[in-house]
Amino acid sequence: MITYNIGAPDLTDGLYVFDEDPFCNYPETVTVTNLPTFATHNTGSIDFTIPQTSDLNLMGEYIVTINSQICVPDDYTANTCSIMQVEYDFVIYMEPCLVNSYSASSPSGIINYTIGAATETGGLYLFEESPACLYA
Amino acid sequence: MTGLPAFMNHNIGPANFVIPETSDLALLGEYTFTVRSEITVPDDYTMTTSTVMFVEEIVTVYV
Repeated sequence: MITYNIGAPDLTDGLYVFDEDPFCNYPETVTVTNLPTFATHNTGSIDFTIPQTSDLNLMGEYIVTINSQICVPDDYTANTCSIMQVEYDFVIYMEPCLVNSYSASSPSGIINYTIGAATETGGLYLFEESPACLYA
Repeated sequence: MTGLPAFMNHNIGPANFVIPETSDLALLGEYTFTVRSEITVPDDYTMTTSTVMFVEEIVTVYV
């Protein structure tokens, strides 16, 4: 399971390790399917990265399948081999952006108008989320 | 917007207010109105429930 809050810094998680018993050190072929496009599979560090994103449309759960295979030679000729494989699903949860505070950053406060004067524009207001999650 | 005087206009785009030119002395006085802004923050990825966060600001108009 990988849990990422939208708006947070890059997250690297989901380290995976497949064990042979006994340890023969056959090369592994790892295949990842249904990995969302916003996530990256790090083959070197055998984990996954979700780069920082503020896209609220990504909220949801994503089921990813990881499969690892080793090819175990049937005899010393190594002409044929038997495939041994492990496969499991894990979930990436894209959780909401966390708003710590919501406040008025440009207080509109006071508007003055003198009767007979030209049209008056004032009272500019601006509300800010911290961090800026851009919720409607 | 709550209590915005009838002689004022709310400009949603630029997020401000306009008092059109007037010579109506009957408008003399002090007025207050409230600006409230809300955001709806989902409680989790399912978005089935959410929490409303809001800010209210009181604006005073002297005519």
